[in-house]
Amino acid sequence: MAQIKKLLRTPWWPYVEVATLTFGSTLVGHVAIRHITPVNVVMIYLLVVVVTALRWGERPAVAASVLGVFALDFFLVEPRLSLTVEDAEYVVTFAVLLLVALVIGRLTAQQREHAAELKKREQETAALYAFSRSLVSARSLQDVADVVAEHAGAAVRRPVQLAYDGRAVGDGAAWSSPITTPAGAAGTLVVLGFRPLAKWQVRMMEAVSGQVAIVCERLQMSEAAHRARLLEEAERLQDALLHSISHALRTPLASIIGSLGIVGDPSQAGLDPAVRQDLLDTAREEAERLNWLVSNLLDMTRLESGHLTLSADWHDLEDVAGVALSQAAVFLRGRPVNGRLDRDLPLVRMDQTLILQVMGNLLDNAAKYSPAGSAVDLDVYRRGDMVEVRVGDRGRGVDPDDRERIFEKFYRGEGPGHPAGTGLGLAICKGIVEAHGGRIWVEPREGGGSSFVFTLPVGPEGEADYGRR
Amino acid sequence: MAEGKRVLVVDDERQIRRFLRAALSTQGYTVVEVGTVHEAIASANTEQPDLMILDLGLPDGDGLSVLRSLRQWSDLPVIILTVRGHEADKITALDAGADDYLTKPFSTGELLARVRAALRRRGRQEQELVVVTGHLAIDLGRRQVTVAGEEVHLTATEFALLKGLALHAGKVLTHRNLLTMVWGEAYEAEAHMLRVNISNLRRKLERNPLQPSYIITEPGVGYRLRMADPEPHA
Repeated sequence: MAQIKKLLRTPWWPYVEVATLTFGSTLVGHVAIRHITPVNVVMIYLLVVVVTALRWGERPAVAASVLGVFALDFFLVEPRLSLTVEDAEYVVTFAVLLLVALVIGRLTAQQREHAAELKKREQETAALYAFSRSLVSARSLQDVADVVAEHAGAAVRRPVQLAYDGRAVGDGAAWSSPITTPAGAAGTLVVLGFRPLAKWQVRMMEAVSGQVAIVCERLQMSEAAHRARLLEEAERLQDALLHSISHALRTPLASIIGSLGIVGDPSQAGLDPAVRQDLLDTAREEAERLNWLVSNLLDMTRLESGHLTLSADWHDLEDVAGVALSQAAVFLRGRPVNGRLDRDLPLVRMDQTLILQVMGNLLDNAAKYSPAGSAVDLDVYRRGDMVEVRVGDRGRGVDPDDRERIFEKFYRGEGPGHPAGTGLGLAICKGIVEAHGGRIWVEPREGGGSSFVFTLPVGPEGEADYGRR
Repeated sequence: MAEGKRVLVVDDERQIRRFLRAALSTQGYTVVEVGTVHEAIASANTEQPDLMILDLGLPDGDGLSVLRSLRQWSDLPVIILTVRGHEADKITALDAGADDYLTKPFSTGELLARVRAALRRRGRQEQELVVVTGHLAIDLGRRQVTVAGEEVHLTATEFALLKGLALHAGKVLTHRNLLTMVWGEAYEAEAHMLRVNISNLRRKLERNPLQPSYIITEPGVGYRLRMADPEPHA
């Protein structure tokens, strides 16, 4: 089968067919000439010319015309097997036959080419249409480049690429056009290879490049709008942050500068050693608080940038809670801390640094918002497929209206004698806990005060018994 | 004991150097200060220090490069200075041969304790067979552990873990150090086995496992066996 197909495609095959058809027509004519006039036999040859022209185009049709005239003369018209003719009238017949055959052949062949051209055009139009349709859904320059490579390539039947951002293209550029938008150059449309483009391909590429330019402009505009929105949001946040930070930093700085000022003042040389020690302790505590604040700010930036990646690993909550308590020792100075932990807590997957910050913030809050010397409770226990960590204080409690809002950024409870803070601590806790798949809330406590509770999910692997007793 | 000990401080921040000099020289240490990678390597050779305090962020390069080149020819004790949130740097530095680290900001007390511990470790000629800290005594030869004179029974794994910590008493051991020490190379990533055994050890050794006094967690880095500074009346 394949061999036959190959044979049909060889350049000389149409002529083999012409010869065969003409030979067949001559056989038919040989029989028919007994019944019809030779002039009508001419029609058979004309038929061969039409068929050939339709099938193979002009040149084989010309061959069929010439061969037909010769066959008629040689085989059918008296004297047979000779090119001479008895009747001079036949010369006219031959001349007309040749002329008619040539004209028919040419017209038919043109018709055929025209049809083929139409079909090709239709395919190109379809490809271009598919291109435009795919282009509509492009959301990035990469998408546009993909669509160009797939559909524009199909439309011009050549590899086409959109080169942008200095990205390399393939070999050779038979045709290229820069894509410019009001915002500047977006890229270059390139037809790969070295063979020059046909006229229709150039036309096609011009249409493609026009469409690509429109889409690029749309992309640039929507990106600019997106950036402007982000910038506005960032600026708003920055203002709030600066305002809150400068306030939160000033308070501890004031007590540090004040305390050290007295201790360092030569005129205060007679200062009671106990007072002196107390001032130094205050300065140190406030410096520690500043340090904690900076950690909170760093976590906030991480949360805000949206790039909070947890470096999670399996941790023992007793271990983590112990570190949190030792880190919070400065804030909790002089307070009894009751730690109660389930004895067989499962291991929990967490980012230890971040969970330490959550526990630290909650312990710090508990110390800040409750009377000096009152106890702070830390309970850790299992509840269903979660582990709950509960930090309880004996403070004034949180108004029901505020229970949701205190976890919002920059929200600060109001009231006289309210300790300084950034209004970020609880927002950071919420961000971190939720990034771990947990929840955080506040609830009133029996006997007064509040409990801040957060949960962390226990994965199936945390259950496994690794030899804990 | 600090008399005559030379400490090489490598830090480019003047305030930190001033504070380190004040803290160390009042304790009788001789302090040599440099501020660049280049000077650090030169001074480690010419000044013959007994200890180096090395900031990881230096103007002309990474403190780690000082540590790496130093370790090719010297086992000088090195304490690294880093900041919070750079846990990976600490682990890299410890794996590259640092003896200890301090996270900025740190107190004078912490600094001096680490310096003493690092010098003491170097001072020991032979590995001690009995490591004592507070009420905890670990007899490595007889595989016996006592708390306040009472024997504590440990599993083989727990003892191996405690032994690892005791052999490097006072020094931070990274999770990887401990895992390979106790379980072998193949278990490097099995952090949960470590957590569970540390938890079990604490329950057996510590009075309050929530506020441990012997096995101390270094968040994000590892664990250390705290060596109580010898008390005059102990």
